[in-house]
Amino acid sequence: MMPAAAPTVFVIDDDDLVRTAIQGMLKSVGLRSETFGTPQDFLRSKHPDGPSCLVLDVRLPGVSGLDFQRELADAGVRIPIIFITGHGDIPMSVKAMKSGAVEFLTKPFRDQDLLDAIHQASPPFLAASG
Amino acid sequence: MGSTAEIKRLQSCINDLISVLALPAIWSGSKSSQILSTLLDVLLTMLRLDFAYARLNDASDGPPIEVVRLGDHRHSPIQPQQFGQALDRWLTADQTASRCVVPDPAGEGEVSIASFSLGLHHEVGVLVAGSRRADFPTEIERLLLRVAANQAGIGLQDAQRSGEQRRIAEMLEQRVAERTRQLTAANDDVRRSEAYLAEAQRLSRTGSFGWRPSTGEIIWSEETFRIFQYDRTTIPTVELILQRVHPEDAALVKQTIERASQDGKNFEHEYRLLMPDGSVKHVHVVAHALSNESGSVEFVGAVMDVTAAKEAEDRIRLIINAVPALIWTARADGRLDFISQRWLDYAGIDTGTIAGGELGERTVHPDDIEQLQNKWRVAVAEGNPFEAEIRVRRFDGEYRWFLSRACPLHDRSGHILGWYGNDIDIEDRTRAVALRDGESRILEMIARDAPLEEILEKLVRVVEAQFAGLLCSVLLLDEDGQHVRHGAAPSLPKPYTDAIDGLCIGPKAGSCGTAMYRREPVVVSDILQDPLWEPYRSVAEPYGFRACWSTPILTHSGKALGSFAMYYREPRSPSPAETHALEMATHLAGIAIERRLAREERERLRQAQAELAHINRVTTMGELTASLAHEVNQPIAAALTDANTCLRWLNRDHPDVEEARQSALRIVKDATRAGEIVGRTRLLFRKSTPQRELVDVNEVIREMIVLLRSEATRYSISVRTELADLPQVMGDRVQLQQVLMNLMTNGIDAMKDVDGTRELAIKSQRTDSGQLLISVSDTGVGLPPQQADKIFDAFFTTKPHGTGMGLRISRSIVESHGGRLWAADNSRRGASFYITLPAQVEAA
Repeated sequence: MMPAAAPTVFVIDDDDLVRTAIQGMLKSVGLRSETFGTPQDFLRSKHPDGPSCLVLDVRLPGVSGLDFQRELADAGVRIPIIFITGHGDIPMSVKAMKSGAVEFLTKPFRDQDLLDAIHQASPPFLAASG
Repeated sequence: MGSTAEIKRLQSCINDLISVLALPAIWSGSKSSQILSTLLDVLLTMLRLDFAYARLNDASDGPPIEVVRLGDHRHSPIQPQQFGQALDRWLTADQTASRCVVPDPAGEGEVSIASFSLGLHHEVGVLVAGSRRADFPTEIERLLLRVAANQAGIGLQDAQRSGEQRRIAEMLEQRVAERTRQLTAANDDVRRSEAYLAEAQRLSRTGSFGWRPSTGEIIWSEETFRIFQYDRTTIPTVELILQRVHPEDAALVKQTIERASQDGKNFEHEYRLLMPDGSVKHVHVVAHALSNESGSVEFVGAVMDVTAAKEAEDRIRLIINAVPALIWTARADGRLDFISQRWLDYAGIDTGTIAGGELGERTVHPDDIEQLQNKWRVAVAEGNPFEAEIRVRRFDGEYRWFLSRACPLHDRSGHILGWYGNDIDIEDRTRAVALRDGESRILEMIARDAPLEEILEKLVRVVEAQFAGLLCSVLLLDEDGQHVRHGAAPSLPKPYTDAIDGLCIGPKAGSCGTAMYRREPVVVSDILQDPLWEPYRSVAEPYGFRACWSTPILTHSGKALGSFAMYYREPRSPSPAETHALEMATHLAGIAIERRLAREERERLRQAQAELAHINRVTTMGELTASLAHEVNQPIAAALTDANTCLRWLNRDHPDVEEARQSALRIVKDATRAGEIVGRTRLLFRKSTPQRELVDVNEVIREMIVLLRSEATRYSISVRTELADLPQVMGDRVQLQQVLMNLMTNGIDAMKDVDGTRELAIKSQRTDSGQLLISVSDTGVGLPPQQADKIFDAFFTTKPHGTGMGLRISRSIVESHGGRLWAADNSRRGASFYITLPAQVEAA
């Protein structure tokens, strides 16, 4: 049985190459995705009600991914977050995980690791990616 | 009446007859009218007539002379002419001695008249006697009247004849008087003319003469006598003339006179007279030859005493000789006829030894003589002012440059009488001009940084060209300040310069070594004598060098850089001109050498700066390693994902090739990006010499943003750009990248620890003046308080690990691009750095 709305992966990364690469990979496994260059763009967009998760780059221009995670939490937006980072370090990943992140992936990451994290974040994605 | 009465009457008649016959004696010398009046008076009284009338035809066809006498108590207003007319008709026929009765012309009644011709015919006149007596005229009366008429006729004819003679005599006398008067006047004129001529001759001191060579006859005017100072009574001869001629001119005068006497042609000559009192006169003689009928020649001429003119001329010559210019004059045909004493003194010749024509050949430089003669010929032929620059030999053998000029002197009708020339010594001026030209050329070479060797060689050649026989050399002092090195000496023999190269300077080291040691000019007039040359005499001697004057080339601080030397192959001391040239050459050599040293210094500095800039880049890049790694990591990560995606599409049961292809295209883009970043990073690490090319500043800004984006992102700094359309600039791309990277990393550093908005804004725009203005603004801590002006100083830093060179280097780079770099605090927060760069014309 299909849910009312297709599950959607939201991707926020300021690097367009990385954004389009992730989107292409998700498409190849049958997952729908929407990409944004900045958190502001994401906030301005209309979010579907269906199951979703957020792939968020830790380093963003003007604001860090961790700060944005807190902003979302403060605003009552509940969405599983998977962090990706160019150069992760242990204190940062611990901080992220403590704040409720699903996964913390360091670029370059294996695509299976990202898919696994997405599935973990929201089981409906597993069905969708069949 | 008896015989007594008759006797008485006869006696009376004889008495009357005697009276009448005596009349001619009375009449002698009388005029005709007097004769007639006397005749009529006598007859009227003698014959008791009522009237007597006489008419005398004038011999000269004038009106007749008419006289009438009336008898006693008779008065009539009648005029003799009227009387004559009344009687006329009785007289027309031949009434001579006839008797008739006619109306009384002087009253009423009738009267008997008797008329007689005077002379043989009527040609002389007529005599008429009238009486109222009836018996008139009686025989006796008739006789008396006839005798009286005859006597009167003779008397009248005599009177007429003598009157005629008198008139002729008077006329002759008158004519003689007239002629005499004319002659007298003519004589006066002649006398006056003669006086005038004599006076004119005296005043003009011009005597005249005539000379007939065939006879030796000479005629002199008074003034000629005076000029020659001979007494008027002397008979002039050629010998006398020659006696007076000045002994020095005698031969020539004699020759002239002899030739004239032979060929008989006009002559003109000028010579001196030596007067008895020892004084000298100058005379100018002009003679014209005239040929007479007999074919012999006669000379007529003038002797002018031109002593005063000669003296004036001598005075002018004195003045001319006092003028410090070389003056000469030439005849209309171009032959020199006067050369001022100054000229002769300059050339060291006297007129006695040289004729005008060969003066040029004797004194003008052989290379200039042809040009001079051609120009002179043309000037004389065309009558135009003459000008030529020539070298003229001085008495001591030195040739000096002269400007020779001459102007024709015209008479009133425009004919050229002669030429006035003057030669001006322009040697010093010519040399000064040549030196100045050479100086300009050398300064030009220095300005365009020609190689030092070329400059010095040119300098040597310029100076050498100014003085005949001069040889120059430039020596350089080694950096150790001890040894001399060959600089430039194109005219000195190579073995000599080789021998000099490497010698030590010292207190007794020839001219140059000593000059550099003493740091003052050294003048050695004779190498063979001067002790300074003792150690090197054997080196110079084989080449014949005798004089060597050297001046040290010094820096402003007085350090010796080398020397400039002048050599001559004869012992001598420098002239002022040579000293001047030596000073100038030394000065120029100094400029050239100092400039070369400065250039070398600059090059060393530039290399050091480049080195420093490189270190700065490397350091900056080192600081950025993490960010750069991230920046490379991004496309690599994307590439890995895209590659896996690509495989996934292909590994399906039904491979989706189109999707796989899209993925593969993305891999290409990812890899390209990674390659670009690595390339740019490597570029910044590279050590390269600055290269000028047309650079798009906006592109450089974008590139640097790419490199620094990760760094900015790392500190949550947003990067904003406002880039206007800009022209390209001429510059070094890497250096400009470095400046922007420095400013942007500084901005990022300034914001690392601040709260609130972190924004790095980069703007580019074009100013009103056409320059490019680039600003890099941050919202960081701002410029260090009280030290804002120090941030561009070397080694000033506010960072724990900064080199303190970044802004220093950035500013020097911008300035080397002709721009400016400065900083200012923002009004709200942070600081801004501004760069201006001159825009390059697109075509460049």
